[in-house]
Amino acid sequence: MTDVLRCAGLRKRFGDVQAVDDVGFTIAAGETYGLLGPNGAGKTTTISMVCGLLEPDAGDIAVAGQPMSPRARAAKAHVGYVPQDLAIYPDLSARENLTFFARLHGVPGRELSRRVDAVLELIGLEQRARDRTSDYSGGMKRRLNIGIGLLHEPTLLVLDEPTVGVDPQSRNAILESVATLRDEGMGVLYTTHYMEEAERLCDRIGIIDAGRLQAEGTRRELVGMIGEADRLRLVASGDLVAAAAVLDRSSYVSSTHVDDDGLDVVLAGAGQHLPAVLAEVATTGVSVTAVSVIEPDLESVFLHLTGRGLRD
Amino acid sequence: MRAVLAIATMNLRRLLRERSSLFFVFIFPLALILLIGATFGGGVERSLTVASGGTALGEELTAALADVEGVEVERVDTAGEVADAVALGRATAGVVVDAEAGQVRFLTRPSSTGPALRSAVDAAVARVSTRAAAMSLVGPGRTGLVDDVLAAVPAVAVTDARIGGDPSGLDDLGRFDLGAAQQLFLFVFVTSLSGSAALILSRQLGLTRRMLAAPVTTAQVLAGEALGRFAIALVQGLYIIVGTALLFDVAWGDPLVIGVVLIVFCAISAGAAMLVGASLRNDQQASGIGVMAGLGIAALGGSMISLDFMTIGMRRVAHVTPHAWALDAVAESVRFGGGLGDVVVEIAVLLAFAVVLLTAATWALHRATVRTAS
Repeated sequence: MTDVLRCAGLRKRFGDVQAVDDVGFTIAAGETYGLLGPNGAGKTTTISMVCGLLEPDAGDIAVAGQPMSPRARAAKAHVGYVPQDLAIYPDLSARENLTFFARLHGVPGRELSRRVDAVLELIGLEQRARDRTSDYSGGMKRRLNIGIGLLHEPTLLVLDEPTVGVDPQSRNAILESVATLRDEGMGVLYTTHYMEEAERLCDRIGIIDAGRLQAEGTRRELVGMIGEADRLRLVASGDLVAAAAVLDRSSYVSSTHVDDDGLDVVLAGAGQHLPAVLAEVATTGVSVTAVSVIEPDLESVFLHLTGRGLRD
Repeated sequence: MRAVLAIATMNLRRLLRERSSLFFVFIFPLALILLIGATFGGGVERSLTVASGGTALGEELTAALADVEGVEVERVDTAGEVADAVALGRATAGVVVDAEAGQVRFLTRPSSTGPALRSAVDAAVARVSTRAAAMSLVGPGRTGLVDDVLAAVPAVAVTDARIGGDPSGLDDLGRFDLGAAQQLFLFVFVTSLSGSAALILSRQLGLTRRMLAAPVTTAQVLAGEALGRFAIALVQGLYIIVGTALLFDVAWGDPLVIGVVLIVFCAISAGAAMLVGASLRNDQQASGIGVMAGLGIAALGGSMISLDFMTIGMRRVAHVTPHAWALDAVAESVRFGGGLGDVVVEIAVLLAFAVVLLTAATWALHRATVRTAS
């Protein structure tokens, strides 16, 4: 398959913060690549560089073989960008919003109406096309936000956390639309901090944290990185940090992570070691109210790689 | 260029779409010009209250006064009613005919239109009394002859000729002329500044970022926004000029002068709007500050109180604003028939304002836009 996106060695620093550090990946036509990481991991900075919104300090980006930069109009013409914010004019109708962005993308006059009509049909807003978008529901606005990114039939669709704040029904519709576009041959770069979305939608996933791409591969490959490890979820109260420190010293524990409600423990053979884990935790005075063993998933991989949870 | 035009057109479309804009851009300016003209404007039809005394001579004089162009005559019965009408300002002046005493009394308040009315009354009295004298000579059966003779004698027109008086030319202005020019620059500036909120909203909503992700350069986005601000200012200006010319017969002087002044002033307003839009981070703040600053600068520049009524010191201060220079240029053209060559200095100063503001605004907006992109 042809690569629609190739980026290598991307770096970007803001003051003292190294937002992106040596990030590189490729996306083939008809492939969905998920960039999975918590807030502040460097996802948005990475896609800002991929879309030509930001000049990288170092590294190369090519979209459909065209080098990308803020001045690279040829490369930008291949990218459909769907921002996390609802970037639509509230005082214009869906049709006017689409027409404006189609003109910005240089869609020629004769083609413009056809494309606008096609996108309105795709996002299911034909009946409300002439209404002001300020009167739309949240889901309708979100659909229009995505539709604008599809107007010029891009080679690469970049979606920056498109389901944040979306109800489950609209979220499902968005994920199905993205899958359809991928099946039609569009390359998709999808950033999210929802593990379930990445698992359901993405052919390959890059796990990003602290500006670095920690690991990359299919779901199977990533889960395989932590071997036979399980995730043990302890719902508990007390000095959880002390309990995690005790467990970290145990030879059978790979990593631990504390949150408000308890702690996660990544370890091999959870069933076999469960009594020992509970005994160790009890020595710190922590009270455990529930225990569950979770099959290896991307959350476990992230925890294993970074020692942090995806929602931190 | 297509992208630049698309951004500019979209800005204009958004202005026209907003219902509150329709009121403040299209209805309010003309209503205000109408109100100011009706309240303070010159060129008012002069009203004359006349008590004829019921005599034939008095009636003839009243009829002669009613024929004078620009004079509206109201008949009353007594001298007291005439005095009241003049004293209370219901009439510009009054005439009381006392045929028995052989007197015509002219009553007026101190005003600029009084002397002109006095001339009209004098002329009418002269004509009527000449006819009466002629009639007494030729006898009552020769009325036709007297009228033929009087018709053959050309009427002597007395016109005002001011020497050293009223160098401002204010007395020659129509009722709405002064207010229209002042409101033109006030509204062009304020409408542009209030539109600066749209720039901030575009950044806040991520629309600027989305535009920059399209195959356009930052320079094209900036040019589109600048052209959009300029178009909004121009629409507002042209609407006031054409509207007041058609509805209120406002004289705008040499079309070339008002055209050049308006274009340069629109560029100034666009620059100011972009500067506000780039400097502030909150759209409500921009609407509030924009309108207040716009009104304040306009007031200082003579768009609320005419420069003609300011002290010399205040006039100097007023000229730190572009409004004062623009008003000077329009006054030169409208009041004294000046052409483009007569307002070179004013236009040069306005151009300097435009260059400075647009340069600063482009720099500030470029910074804000790049920051938004990151």
